[in-house]
Amino acid sequence: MDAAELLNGFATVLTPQNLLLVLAGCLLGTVIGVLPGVGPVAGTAILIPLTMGLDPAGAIIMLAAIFYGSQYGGTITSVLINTPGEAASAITCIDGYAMTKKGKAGVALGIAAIGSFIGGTLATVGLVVAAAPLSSLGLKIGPPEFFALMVLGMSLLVGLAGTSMVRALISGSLGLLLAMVGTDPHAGLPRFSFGVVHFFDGLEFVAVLVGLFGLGEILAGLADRRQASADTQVGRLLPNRQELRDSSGAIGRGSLIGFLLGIIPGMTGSASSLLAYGAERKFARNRDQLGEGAIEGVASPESANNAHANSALIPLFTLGIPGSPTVAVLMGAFLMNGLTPGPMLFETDADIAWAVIASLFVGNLMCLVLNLPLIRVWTMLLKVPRPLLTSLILVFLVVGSYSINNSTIDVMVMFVFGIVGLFFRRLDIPLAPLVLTLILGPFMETSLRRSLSMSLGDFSIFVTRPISLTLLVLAAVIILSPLLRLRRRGQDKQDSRFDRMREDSEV
Amino acid sequence: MKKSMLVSGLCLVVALFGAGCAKAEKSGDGATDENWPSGETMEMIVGYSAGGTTDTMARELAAELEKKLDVQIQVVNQDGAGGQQAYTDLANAEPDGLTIGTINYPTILSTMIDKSKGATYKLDDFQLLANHVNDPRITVVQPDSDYKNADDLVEYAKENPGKLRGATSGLAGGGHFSMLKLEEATGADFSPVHFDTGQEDAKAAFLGGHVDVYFASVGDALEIIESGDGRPVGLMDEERSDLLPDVPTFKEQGIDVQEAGMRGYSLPAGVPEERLKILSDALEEIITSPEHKKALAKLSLVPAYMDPEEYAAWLDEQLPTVEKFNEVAMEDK
Repeated sequence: MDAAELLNGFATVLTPQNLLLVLAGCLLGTVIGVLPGVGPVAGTAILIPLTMGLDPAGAIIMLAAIFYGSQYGGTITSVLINTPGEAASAITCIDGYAMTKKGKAGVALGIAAIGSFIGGTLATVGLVVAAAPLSSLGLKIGPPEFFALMVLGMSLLVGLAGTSMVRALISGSLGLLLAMVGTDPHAGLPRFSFGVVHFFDGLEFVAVLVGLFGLGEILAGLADRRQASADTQVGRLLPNRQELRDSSGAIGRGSLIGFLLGIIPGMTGSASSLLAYGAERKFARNRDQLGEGAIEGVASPESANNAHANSALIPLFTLGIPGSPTVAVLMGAFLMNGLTPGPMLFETDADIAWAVIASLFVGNLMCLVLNLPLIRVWTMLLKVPRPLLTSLILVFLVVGSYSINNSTIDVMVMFVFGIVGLFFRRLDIPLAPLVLTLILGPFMETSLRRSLSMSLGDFSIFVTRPISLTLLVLAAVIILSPLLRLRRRGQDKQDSRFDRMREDSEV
Repeated sequence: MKKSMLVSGLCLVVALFGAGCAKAEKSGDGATDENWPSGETMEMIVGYSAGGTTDTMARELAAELEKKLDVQIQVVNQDGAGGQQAYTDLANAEPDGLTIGTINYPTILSTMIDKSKGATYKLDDFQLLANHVNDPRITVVQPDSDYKNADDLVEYAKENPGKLRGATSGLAGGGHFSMLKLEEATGADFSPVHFDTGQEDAKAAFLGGHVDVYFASVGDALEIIESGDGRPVGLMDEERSDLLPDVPTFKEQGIDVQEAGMRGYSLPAGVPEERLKILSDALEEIITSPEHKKALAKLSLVPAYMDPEEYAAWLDEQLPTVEKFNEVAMEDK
């Protein structure tokens, strides 16, 4: 693509007014990310009218900044109080909060900001260099490929199992069951909705996650009568050499996964961060530590969701298709400003398109610079006395879950899943598989049924298409490899019975 | 400049915090009716998510209505259950004229008809206000396919029943209805693939070549038609669209099918007559103005004003057809 046009774009962005707009967007985005319930979709939509007075370039630059800024902000509450600020940061709770308990909150937030910056910037480079070929690649992912990708995602359950496969399956199956609530996508009939119209669209999974993680943690703390379970030590902000070495691979993998999934229309940032986290189970240096505060468990999903946020603009710019709900809001902003995103955009309004792209580079840098010093501010939360902090978080949880849809039903859902979260902790059932299946389940179902509509009910559609076949084979390898390893070991040496049982349970 | 930016920045933050919890305080009772609704805060319930066609359309209108009536309008996106959530909220709202909601055909009717949805409202629970736009259905095929016009497509779909896969925006939605109406009128047979998660997913599947036909609306498909990524074979309207003057209607090609995407506004039933008149006059003036037509064209939409009576009569008229096709749709899984 044309370097001169990109430079022109930078010239547009680097004016005082537009720089201020980027800054305001990053700040607001961070705040939106921090508030549970007010996710990027609602947040961006609420703020659209406030950009009406600006010129088109300025308005869109600011809204885009709000969008990726929120991906930075979502991590903060995940790490500090075990409550996801938005869905794409839910999985970060697991290792992020574990790091906080170990007194490494600073490093966790630091690496999240750095990973987010790298992920976002790499994705923008991809946008500049290869937007057109990548977008046609994204379109090749039809329903059958989408389904295969979801199977691959689910196969990562094997990796997320923790200490017991049985417990992981309990958690995963419950997630799938909860994903069934809603309207049957093919028959149009309500399922498990108990006549409540609110449930026709399924359980609001942000409310479920906020309950499971946030409220569950509080209840577990109260039940144990734990005093100050979280270490109030914040520690360093910048990771040391060892941590950097550990997380550099994770950031790379996360960025790549987020980038690739971002160009597929219909994929969301939360799916990206989940798959990135799952991949760490296979590839991370400290994979045994994953779930107990491994830095990779923060670095990878956070890089992924930011890479996703930026690469999701590729289908918007080149095809006029918003890849995710938040990008759809952004598309609305384009339209309101008289710009039509799509193949004609670079011909009719090239200056604005390039200004927006240039603003992504500037904005990601700004978010990083802004977020590192802010970490000290956010972590002051941990210094609040425990009883006060607990009550504050409770208020936060209730307001947050109410504001998702302005509905008290979501607040009740949050409370119910808080109690479920308590039982999970008591029975030592991992939360990660539930998050995985709850979020990926609906994708899997709709893509399965669409594929079968396409093939008139013929299942061979999944193995006759090359991309889908490759993904399914990969999933099969992931599922079967621990079993094969187990068998080989059994042949190599005769383990004691006890050892073999332990092996079994570790699978 | 800098200061005003800072102030507006602060306002943004405050607004953001407030937005979740603040519901407009309504002071409808004590207002003197001669100035009504000057200075009031109104609420506009939009049944679809922010950024979608209905939302952008409603926000565009709300901005002009604010100026005209000197009011504040809060747009609330109550997306859920294909609009049913919003219709329920609207039907139950205080009939003081300060709550307006968007009405989308055919979902306003199909949610009432489908008993499994348990909708608690009837058409009588609404005081219709105005129809805003007509976004007619259009049938689009792959640009490298052999179907140059409606006849080619129908011919092939008759000879090879079920072989052509058609993307719709969801079971018993407008796109699906347009497919069923075309089937009924011609005897063609398509296999529907429902993209209930949104129009955009249907469009992506069409662009990726995963389906053969795209049962879209003009607003959805304008971009890909202009860029040459899709070839329109027919428009389901009485006349050609101003946005696509070269695309023939089905009727011109001897196939009488019409399916419109009508979108308008309503109040809850029981709003005082004079308030209804103030609002409906204001809407008429806005919707029929040439400037508004230009603004809508940017959103790929064409205004089609109907006054409260016309609008109510039109919806009433559609009821039996929607009832019939809803039944067909449920059988045609």
